[in-house]
Amino acid sequence: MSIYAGANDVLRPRIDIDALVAEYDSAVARLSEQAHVVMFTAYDPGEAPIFAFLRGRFAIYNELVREVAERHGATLVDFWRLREYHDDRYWDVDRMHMSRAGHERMAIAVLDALGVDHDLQPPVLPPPPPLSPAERRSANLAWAREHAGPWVGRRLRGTSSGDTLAPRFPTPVTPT
Amino acid sequence: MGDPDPGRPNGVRGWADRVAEQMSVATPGVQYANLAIRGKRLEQVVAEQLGPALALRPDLVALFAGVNDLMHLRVRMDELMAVYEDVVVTVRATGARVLLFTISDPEPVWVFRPFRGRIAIYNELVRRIARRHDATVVDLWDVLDLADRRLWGDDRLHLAAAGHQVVAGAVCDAIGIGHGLHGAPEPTGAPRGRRQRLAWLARHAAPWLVRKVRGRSLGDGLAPRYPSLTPPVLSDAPSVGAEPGPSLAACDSADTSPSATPSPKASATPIPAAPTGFTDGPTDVPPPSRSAIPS
Repeated sequence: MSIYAGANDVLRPRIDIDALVAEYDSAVARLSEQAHVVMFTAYDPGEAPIFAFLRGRFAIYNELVREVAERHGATLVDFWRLREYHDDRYWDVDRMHMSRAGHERMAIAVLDALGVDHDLQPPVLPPPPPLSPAERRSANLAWAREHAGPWVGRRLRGTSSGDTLAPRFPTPVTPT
Repeated sequence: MGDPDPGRPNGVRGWADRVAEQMSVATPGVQYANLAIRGKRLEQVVAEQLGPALALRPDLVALFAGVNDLMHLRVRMDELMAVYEDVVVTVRATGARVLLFTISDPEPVWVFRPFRGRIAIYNELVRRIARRHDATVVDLWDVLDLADRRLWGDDRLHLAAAGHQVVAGAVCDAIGIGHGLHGAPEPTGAPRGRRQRLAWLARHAAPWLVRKVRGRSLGDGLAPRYPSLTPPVLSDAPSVGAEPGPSLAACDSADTSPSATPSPKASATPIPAAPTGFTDGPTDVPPPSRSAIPS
Protein backbone atom coordinates (compact mmCIF):
# COMPACT_ATOMS: atom_id res chain seq x y z
CA MET A 1 0.00 0.00 0.00
CA SER A 2 1.35 3.41 -0.83
CA ILE A 3 0.59 6.60 1.03
CA TYR A 4 1.72 10.10 0.29
CA ALA A 5 0.01 12.63 2.49
CA GLY A 6 0.76 15.76 4.41
CA ALA A 7 2.45 17.77 1.69
CA ASN A 8 -0.72 19.80 1.11
CA ASP A 9 -0.96 20.49 4.83
CA VAL A 10 2.62 21.71 4.85
CA LEU A 11 1.62 24.37 2.31
CA ARG A 12 -0.83 26.00 4.70
CA PRO A 13 0.19 29.34 6.21
CA ARG A 14 0.35 27.94 9.73
CA ILE A 15 1.13 24.33 10.32
CA ASP A 16 2.34 22.24 13.24
CA ILE A 17 4.50 19.78 11.34
CA ASP A 18 5.18 17.66 14.44
CA ALA A 19 1.46 17.18 15.11
CA LEU A 20 0.86 16.49 11.43
CA VAL A 21 3.53 13.80 11.24
CA ALA A 22 2.38 12.30 14.55
CA GLU A 23 -1.03 11.76 12.93
CA TYR A 24 0.66 10.41 9.82
CA ASP A 25 2.66 8.06 11.98
CA SER A 26 -0.44 6.53 13.54
CA ALA A 27 -2.01 6.10 10.10
CA VAL A 28 1.10 4.34 8.82
CA ALA A 29 1.09 2.17 11.92
CA ARG A 30 -2.46 1.00 11.12
CA LEU A 31 -1.65 0.36 7.47
CA SER A 32 1.49 -1.55 8.41
CA GLU A 33 -0.58 -4.04 10.37
CA GLN A 34 -2.10 -5.23 7.11
CA ALA A 35 0.30 -4.42 4.32
CA HIS A 36 3.76 -3.38 3.32
CA VAL A 37 3.71 0.42 3.15
CA VAL A 38 5.41 2.64 0.57
CA MET A 39 6.02 6.24 1.61
CA PHE A 40 7.52 9.28 -0.06
CA THR A 41 9.67 12.20 0.95
CA ALA A 42 8.77 15.63 -0.38
CA TYR A 43 10.40 17.10 -3.43
CA ASP A 44 13.33 19.49 -2.98
CA PRO A 45 12.12 22.82 -4.36
CA GLY A 46 15.69 24.13 -4.26
CA GLU A 47 16.58 27.76 -3.93
CA ALA A 48 14.34 28.92 -6.79
CA PRO A 49 12.57 32.00 -5.51
CA ILE A 50 8.96 30.94 -6.05
CA PHE A 51 8.98 27.89 -3.79
CA ALA A 52 12.15 28.50 -1.77
CA PHE A 53 10.21 29.49 1.34
CA LEU A 54 8.81 25.98 1.41
CA ARG A 55 12.16 24.26 1.32
CA GLY A 56 12.76 24.33 5.06
CA ARG A 57 9.27 22.98 5.75
CA PHE A 58 9.63 20.21 3.22
CA ALA A 59 13.00 19.30 4.71
CA ILE A 60 11.55 19.12 8.23
CA TYR A 61 8.66 17.01 6.91
CA ASN A 62 11.21 14.70 5.28
CA GLU A 63 13.37 14.34 8.36
CA LEU A 64 10.30 13.33 10.36
CA VAL A 65 8.91 11.06 7.64
CA ARG A 66 12.22 9.19 7.47
CA GLU A 67 11.78 8.36 11.14
CA VAL A 68 8.21 7.18 10.53
CA ALA A 69 9.29 4.94 7.66
CA GLU A 70 12.12 3.48 9.71
CA ARG A 71 9.86 2.90 12.70
CA HIS A 72 7.37 0.88 10.66
CA GLY A 73 9.73 -0.77 8.21
CA ALA A 74 8.13 1.04 5.28
CA THR A 75 9.76 1.47 1.89
CA LEU A 76 10.70 5.09 1.33
CA VAL A 77 10.74 6.54 -2.18
CA ASP A 78 13.13 9.43 -1.85
CA PHE A 79 11.60 12.14 -4.00
CA TRP A 80 13.98 14.73 -2.44
CA ARG A 81 16.91 13.00 -4.13
CA LEU A 82 15.42 12.80 -7.63
CA ARG A 83 17.23 15.72 -9.16
CA GLU A 84 15.47 15.26 -12.50
CA TYR A 85 12.50 17.06 -11.10
CA HIS A 86 14.41 20.32 -11.09
CA ASP A 87 13.53 20.25 -14.80
CA ASP A 88 10.19 21.96 -15.52
CA ARG A 89 9.30 19.29 -18.04
CA TYR A 90 8.63 16.84 -15.21
CA TRP A 91 5.87 19.15 -14.00
CA ASP A 92 2.46 20.08 -15.27
CA VAL A 93 1.75 23.65 -16.36
CA ASP A 94 0.50 24.40 -12.84
CA ARG A 95 4.01 23.58 -11.50
CA MET A 96 2.40 21.78 -8.58
CA HIS A 97 1.53 18.45 -10.10
CA MET A 98 3.67 16.10 -12.11
CA SER A 99 3.53 15.91 -15.89
CA ARG A 100 3.26 12.62 -17.79
CA ALA A 101 7.06 12.40 -17.75
CA GLY A 102 7.00 13.08 -14.02
CA HIS A 103 4.58 10.22 -13.46
CA GLU A 104 6.60 7.89 -15.67
CA ARG A 105 9.76 8.70 -13.75
CA MET A 106 8.01 8.24 -10.42
CA ALA A 107 6.69 4.82 -11.44
CA ILE A 108 10.29 3.76 -12.04
CA ALA A 109 11.38 5.18 -8.68
CA VAL A 110 8.66 3.26 -6.84
CA LEU A 111 9.40 -0.04 -8.58
CA ASP A 112 13.13 0.43 -7.98
CA ALA A 113 12.55 1.21 -4.30
CA LEU A 114 10.50 -1.97 -3.97
CA GLY A 115 13.05 -4.01 -5.86
CA VAL A 116 10.49 -5.06 -8.47
CA ASP A 117 11.78 -5.98 -11.91
CA HIS A 118 10.29 -3.85 -14.66
CA ASP A 119 10.89 -2.78 -18.22
CA LEU A 120 9.97 0.88 -17.88
CA GLN A 121 12.27 3.25 -19.69
CA PRO A 122 13.10 6.76 -18.48
CA PRO A 123 10.70 9.20 -20.10
CA VAL A 124 11.71 10.86 -23.33
CA LEU A 125 11.48 14.58 -22.80
CA PRO A 126 10.47 17.14 -25.37
CA PRO A 127 13.20 19.68 -26.09
CA PRO A 128 13.25 22.47 -23.53
CA PRO A 129 11.44 25.55 -24.75
CA PRO A 130 14.06 28.19 -25.56
CA LEU A 131 12.79 31.12 -23.55
CA SER A 132 14.31 34.55 -23.46
CA PRO A 133 14.37 36.24 -20.03
CA ALA A 134 11.39 38.33 -21.10
CA GLU A 135 9.46 35.27 -22.23
CA ARG A 136 10.29 33.51 -18.98
CA ARG A 137 9.03 36.48 -16.97
CA SER A 138 5.89 36.49 -19.02
CA ALA A 139 5.40 32.76 -18.47
CA ASN A 140 5.88 33.24 -14.74
CA LEU A 141 3.27 35.96 -14.70
CA ALA A 142 0.84 33.83 -16.65
CA TRP A 143 1.42 30.97 -14.25
CA ALA A 144 0.86 33.24 -11.26
CA ARG A 145 -2.40 34.51 -12.79
CA GLU A 146 -3.79 31.22 -14.03
CA HIS A 147 -2.58 28.75 -11.40
CA ALA A 148 -0.92 30.24 -8.33
CA GLY A 149 -3.57 32.88 -7.73
CA PRO A 150 -6.54 30.50 -7.97
CA TRP A 151 -4.64 28.03 -5.80
CA VAL A 152 -4.17 30.63 -3.07
CA GLY A 153 -7.87 31.51 -3.39
CA ARG A 154 -8.86 27.87 -2.89
CA ARG A 155 -6.61 27.66 0.17
CA LEU A 156 -8.25 30.77 1.65
CA ARG A 157 -11.74 29.42 0.99
CA GLY A 158 -10.77 26.01 2.34
CA THR A 159 -11.66 24.30 -0.92
CA SER A 160 -9.62 22.08 -3.19
CA SER A 161 -9.51 21.20 -6.86
CA GLY A 162 -10.14 17.63 -5.73
CA ASP A 163 -13.37 18.39 -3.87
CA THR A 164 -15.71 16.99 -6.49
CA LEU A 165 -13.58 14.04 -7.49
CA ALA A 166 -14.09 10.45 -6.45
CA PRO A 167 -11.28 7.91 -5.96
CA ARG A 168 -10.27 6.35 -9.26
CA PHE A 169 -10.06 2.73 -8.14
CA PRO A 170 -11.81 2.39 -4.79
CA THR A 171 -11.81 -1.40 -5.05
CA PRO A 172 -8.99 -3.63 -6.31
CA VAL A 173 -8.81 -4.00 -10.09
CA THR A 174 -6.49 -5.85 -12.44
CA PRO A 175 -4.04 -3.36 -13.94
CA THR A 176 -4.59 -2.86 -17.64
CA MET B 1 33.90 21.07 25.40
CA GLY B 2 31.68 19.65 28.08
CA ASP B 3 33.65 16.47 28.56
CA PRO B 4 36.60 17.50 30.71
CA ASP B 5 39.66 15.35 31.15
CA PRO B 6 42.67 17.28 32.41
CA GLY B 7 45.04 14.59 31.20
CA ARG B 8 44.23 15.11 27.52
CA PRO B 9 45.02 17.80 24.96
CA ASN B 10 43.01 20.98 25.55
CA GLY B 11 41.73 19.31 28.72
CA VAL B 12 38.85 17.48 27.06
CA ARG B 13 37.95 13.96 25.99
CA GLY B 14 34.90 14.04 23.74
CA TRP B 15 33.12 11.58 21.52
CA ALA B 16 35.96 11.12 19.07
CA ASP B 17 38.41 10.07 21.75
CA ARG B 18 35.74 7.73 23.02
CA VAL B 19 35.29 6.18 19.58
CA ALA B 20 39.05 5.86 19.18
CA GLU B 21 39.23 4.08 22.50
CA GLN B 22 36.55 1.61 21.42
CA MET B 23 38.29 1.05 18.12
CA SER B 24 41.62 0.39 19.71
CA VAL B 25 40.03 -2.20 21.95
CA ALA B 26 38.43 -3.87 18.94
CA THR B 27 41.48 -3.41 16.76
CA PRO B 28 44.82 -3.06 18.52
CA GLY B 29 47.19 -0.79 16.68
CA VAL B 30 44.63 1.73 15.55
CA GLN B 31 46.06 5.21 15.10
CA TYR B 32 44.05 8.32 15.64
CA ALA B 33 44.37 11.99 14.85
CA ASN B 34 42.00 14.83 15.60
CA LEU B 35 42.37 18.11 13.77
CA ALA B 36 39.03 19.51 14.86
CA ILE B 37 38.73 22.93 16.43
CA ARG B 38 35.46 24.28 17.71
CA GLY B 39 33.88 27.16 15.89
CA LYS B 40 35.46 26.62 12.49
CA ARG B 41 33.46 27.40 9.40
CA LEU B 42 33.46 25.05 6.46
CA GLU B 43 35.86 27.09 4.38
CA GLN B 44 38.30 27.13 7.28
CA VAL B 45 38.06 23.38 7.67
CA VAL B 46 38.82 23.00 3.98
CA ALA B 47 41.72 25.44 4.11
CA GLU B 48 43.27 24.35 7.38
CA GLN B 49 42.36 20.74 8.05
CA LEU B 50 41.67 18.85 4.86
CA GLY B 51 45.24 18.79 3.51
CA PRO B 52 46.89 17.83 6.81
CA ALA B 53 44.23 15.16 7.34
CA LEU B 54 44.80 13.58 3.96
CA ALA B 55 48.56 13.73 4.48
CA LEU B 56 48.04 11.24 7.30
CA ARG B 57 46.70 8.76 4.74
CA PRO B 58 43.77 7.80 6.90
CA ASP B 59 41.49 4.81 6.37
CA LEU B 60 38.54 6.57 7.86
CA VAL B 61 37.67 10.26 7.98
CA ALA B 62 34.95 11.81 10.10
CA LEU B 63 33.66 15.07 8.69
CA PHE B 64 31.43 17.19 10.84
CA ALA B 65 31.43 20.56 9.20
CA GLY B 66 29.16 23.32 8.02
CA VAL B 67 27.11 23.63 11.18
CA ASN B 68 28.67 26.92 12.22
CA ASP B 69 27.96 28.24 8.76
CA LEU B 70 24.23 27.73 9.31
CA MET B 71 24.06 30.13 12.23
CA HIS B 72 24.19 33.26 10.14
CA LEU B 73 21.52 35.56 8.90
CA ARG B 74 21.76 34.59 5.28
CA VAL B 75 23.13 31.28 4.10
CA ARG B 76 23.23 30.00 0.56
CA MET B 77 22.63 26.37 1.32
CA ASP B 78 23.34 24.95 -2.11
CA GLU B 79 26.68 26.76 -2.35
CA LEU B 80 27.66 25.70 1.14
CA MET B 81 26.78 22.09 0.51
CA ALA B 82 28.53 22.07 -2.85
CA VAL B 83 31.75 22.84 -0.97
CA TYR B 84 30.88 20.14 1.54
CA GLU B 85 30.30 17.66 -1.27
CA ASP B 86 33.67 18.55 -2.78
CA VAL B 87 35.34 17.64 0.51
CA VAL B 88 33.57 14.29 0.52
CA VAL B 89 34.60 13.63 -3.08
CA THR B 90 38.22 14.56 -2.32
CA VAL B 91 38.44 12.25 0.65
CA ARG B 92 36.61 9.39 -1.06
CA ALA B 93 39.04 9.66 -3.98
CA THR B 94 41.85 8.57 -1.63
CA GLY B 95 39.94 5.40 -0.88
CA ALA B 96 39.18 6.41 2.67
CA ARG B 97 35.80 5.80 4.20
CA VAL B 98 33.92 8.92 5.13
CA LEU B 99 31.61 9.50 8.07
CA LEU B 100 29.09 12.31 7.87
CA PHE B 101 26.72 13.64 10.51
CA THR B 102 23.24 15.00 10.59
CA ILE B 103 22.32 17.61 13.20
CA SER B 104 19.94 17.21 16.12
CA ASP B 105 16.38 18.46 15.76
CA PRO B 106 16.43 21.93 17.38
CA GLU B 107 12.68 21.94 18.05
CA PRO B 108 12.96 21.43 21.84
CA VAL B 109 14.91 24.67 22.34
CA TRP B 110 12.83 27.67 21.36
CA VAL B 111 15.68 30.01 20.50
CA PHE B 112 17.00 27.48 18.00
CA ARG B 113 13.64 26.91 16.31
CA PRO B 114 14.12 29.57 13.66
CA PHE B 115 16.99 27.43 12.40
CA ARG B 116 14.94 24.26 12.19
CA GLY B 117 14.15 24.48 8.49
CA ARG B 118 17.74 25.25 7.64
CA ILE B 119 19.04 22.40 9.77
CA ALA B 120 16.58 20.00 8.14
CA ILE B 121 17.73 21.15 4.70
CA TYR B 122 21.35 20.60 5.79
CA ASN B 123 20.46 17.09 6.95
CA GLU B 124 18.56 16.25 3.78
CA LEU B 125 21.50 17.37 1.67
CA VAL B 126 23.99 15.47 3.85
CA ARG B 127 21.91 12.33 3.33
CA ARG B 128 21.86 12.82 -0.41
CA ILE B 129 25.61 13.47 -0.58
CA ALA B 130 26.27 10.39 1.52
CA ARG B 131 24.17 8.30 -0.82
CA ARG B 132 25.85 9.66 -3.92
CA HIS B 133 29.37 9.06 -2.69
CA ASP B 134 28.89 6.00 -0.56
CA ALA B 135 29.61 7.71 2.74
CA THR B 136 28.25 6.61 6.10
CA VAL B 137 25.77 8.80 7.98
CA VAL B 138 25.72 9.08 11.75
CA ASP B 139 22.14 10.20 12.25
CA LEU B 140 22.19 12.58 15.20
CA TRP B 141 18.74 13.91 14.26
CA ASP B 142 17.58 10.46 15.22
CA VAL B 143 19.66 9.70 18.32
CA LEU B 144 20.69 12.96 19.96
CA ASP B 145 17.66 14.48 21.63
CA LEU B 146 17.94 18.15 22.56
CA ALA B 147 15.09 17.69 25.00
CA ASP B 148 17.20 15.25 27.04
CA ARG B 149 19.01 17.68 29.28
CA ARG B 150 21.36 15.04 30.54
CA LEU B 151 23.12 15.07 27.21
CA TRP B 152 23.86 18.76 27.03
CA GLY B 153 25.99 21.26 28.86
CA ASP B 154 24.52 24.29 30.55
CA ASP B 155 24.85 26.30 27.34
CA ARG B 156 22.73 23.76 25.37
CA LEU B 157 25.11 24.36 22.51
CA HIS B 158 27.70 21.82 23.48
CA LEU B 159 27.44 18.24 24.60
CA ALA B 160 27.94 17.07 28.15
CA ALA B 161 29.93 13.93 28.83
CA ALA B 162 26.78 11.80 28.51
CA GLY B 163 26.04 13.38 25.13
CA HIS B 164 29.52 12.64 23.92
CA GLN B 165 28.99 9.06 24.96
CA VAL B 166 25.72 8.85 23.00
CA VAL B 167 27.44 10.23 19.90
CA ALA B 168 30.34 7.83 20.33
CA GLY B 169 27.88 4.94 20.54
CA ALA B 170 26.09 6.11 17.40
CA VAL B 171 29.39 6.33 15.56
CA CYS B 172 30.41 2.85 16.63
CA ASP B 173 27.02 1.55 15.50
CA ALA B 174 27.39 3.30 12.15
CA ILE B 175 30.81 1.81 11.48
CA GLY B 176 29.93 -1.55 12.86
CA ILE B 177 32.18 -1.95 15.86
CA GLY B 178 30.97 -3.39 19.11
CA HIS B 179 31.01 -1.14 22.11
CA GLY B 180 29.61 -0.81 25.60
CA LEU B 181 28.47 2.76 25.29
CA HIS B 182 24.72 2.25 25.51
CA GLY B 183 24.40 2.28 29.27
CA ALA B 184 22.34 4.95 30.93
CA PRO B 185 24.37 8.11 30.80
CA GLU B 186 25.20 9.87 34.00
CA PRO B 187 22.48 12.43 34.72
CA THR B 188 23.49 16.04 34.48
CA GLY B 189 21.34 19.10 34.78
CA ALA B 190 17.87 19.38 36.21
CA PRO B 191 14.45 20.60 35.11
CA ARG B 192 14.49 24.32 34.63
CA GLY B 193 12.03 27.10 35.14
CA ARG B 194 11.66 30.57 33.73
CA ARG B 195 14.41 31.98 35.89
CA GLN B 196 16.86 29.39 34.64
CA ARG B 197 15.91 30.10 31.06
CA LEU B 198 16.57 33.80 31.51
CA ALA B 199 19.88 33.05 33.20
CA TRP B 200 20.77 30.84 30.27
CA LEU B 201 20.02 33.64 27.83
CA ALA B 202 22.26 36.03 29.73
CA ARG B 203 25.08 33.62 30.40
CA HIS B 204 25.27 31.65 27.16
CA ALA B 205 22.97 32.77 24.36
CA ALA B 206 23.85 36.47 24.47
CA PRO B 207 27.63 35.97 24.53
CA TRP B 208 27.25 33.47 21.69
CA LEU B 209 25.37 36.06 19.65
CA VAL B 210 28.02 38.68 20.38
CA ARG B 211 30.76 36.30 19.25
CA LYS B 212 28.86 35.67 16.01
CA VAL B 213 28.46 39.37 15.33
CA ARG B 214 32.13 40.02 15.99
CA GLY B 215 33.24 37.04 13.96
CA ARG B 216 34.92 35.48 16.97
CA SER B 217 34.86 31.91 18.06
CA LEU B 218 35.55 29.94 21.21
CA GLY B 219 38.05 28.05 19.12
CA ASP B 220 40.18 31.09 18.38
CA GLY B 221 43.70 30.42 19.59
CA LEU B 222 43.17 26.71 20.07
CA ALA B 223 45.36 24.17 18.34
CA PRO B 224 44.22 20.77 17.05
CA ARG B 225 44.26 18.18 19.80
CA TYR B 226 45.93 15.35 17.91
CA PRO B 227 47.47 16.84 14.78
CA SER B 228 49.36 13.66 13.97
CA LEU B 229 48.47 10.02 14.28
CA THR B 230 48.74 8.60 17.74
CA PRO B 231 47.47 5.56 19.59
CA PRO B 232 44.25 6.50 21.34
CA VAL B 233 44.54 7.23 25.05
CA LEU B 234 42.55 4.63 26.90
CA SER B 235 40.58 5.54 29.95
CA ASP B 236 39.23 2.20 31.02
CA ALA B 237 41.11 -0.27 28.91
CA PRO B 238 44.71 -1.39 28.98
CA SER B 239 46.98 0.32 26.53
CA VAL B 240 47.46 -1.40 23.26
CA GLY B 241 50.61 -2.64 21.62
CA ALA B 242 52.79 -0.39 19.54
CA GLU B 243 52.28 -2.13 16.24
CA PRO B 244 51.07 0.51 13.81
CA GLY B 245 47.63 -0.09 12.48
CA PRO B 246 45.30 1.89 10.32
CA SER B 247 44.86 5.49 11.10
CA LEU B 248 42.03 7.87 11.43
CA ALA B 249 42.04 11.59 11.49
CA ALA B 250 39.31 13.98 12.44
CA CYS B 251 38.94 17.59 11.65
CA ASP B 252 36.10 19.71 12.82
CA SER B 253 35.07 22.62 14.80
CA ALA B 254 34.27 20.85 18.00
CA ASP B 255 37.57 20.28 19.61
CA THR B 256 36.45 17.12 21.28
CA SER B 257 36.15 15.05 18.22
CA PRO B 258 38.67 12.33 17.78
CA SER B 259 39.16 10.01 14.94
CA ALA B 260 40.06 6.40 15.13
CA THR B 261 41.32 3.90 12.65
CA PRO B 262 40.01 0.49 11.90
CA SER B 263 42.21 -2.48 11.53
CA PRO B 264 43.57 -3.33 8.12
CA LYS B 265 41.56 -6.50 7.93
CA ALA B 266 38.35 -4.93 9.08
CA SER B 267 35.82 -4.19 6.50
CA ALA B 268 35.30 -0.58 5.81
CA THR B 269 35.10 1.20 9.09
CA PRO B 270 34.91 4.92 9.15
CA ILE B 271 35.74 7.00 12.07
CA PRO B 272 33.67 10.03 12.60
CA ALA B 273 34.50 13.30 14.02
CA ALA B 274 32.04 14.33 16.57
CA PRO B 275 29.48 16.92 15.97
CA THR B 276 27.98 18.75 18.81
CA GLY B 277 24.42 19.83 18.45
CA PHE B 278 25.09 23.05 16.87
CA THR B 279 28.23 24.25 18.34
CA ASP B 280 30.34 26.43 16.34
CA GLY B 281 32.47 24.09 14.46
CA PRO B 282 32.43 21.50 11.81
CA THR B 283 34.40 18.37 12.29
CA ASP B 284 36.07 16.16 9.87
CA VAL B 285 38.16 13.18 10.58
CA PRO B 286 40.52 11.64 8.13
CA PRO B 287 40.29 7.95 7.57
CA PRO B 288 42.62 5.26 8.81
CA SER B 289 45.25 3.81 6.56
CA ARG B 290 43.92 2.74 3.27
CA SER B 291 44.73 -0.88 3.81
CA ALA B 292 41.78 -0.95 6.10
CA ILE B 293 39.36 0.24 3.50
CA PRO B 294 37.93 -2.58 1.51
CA SER B 295 35.46 -0.76 -0.61
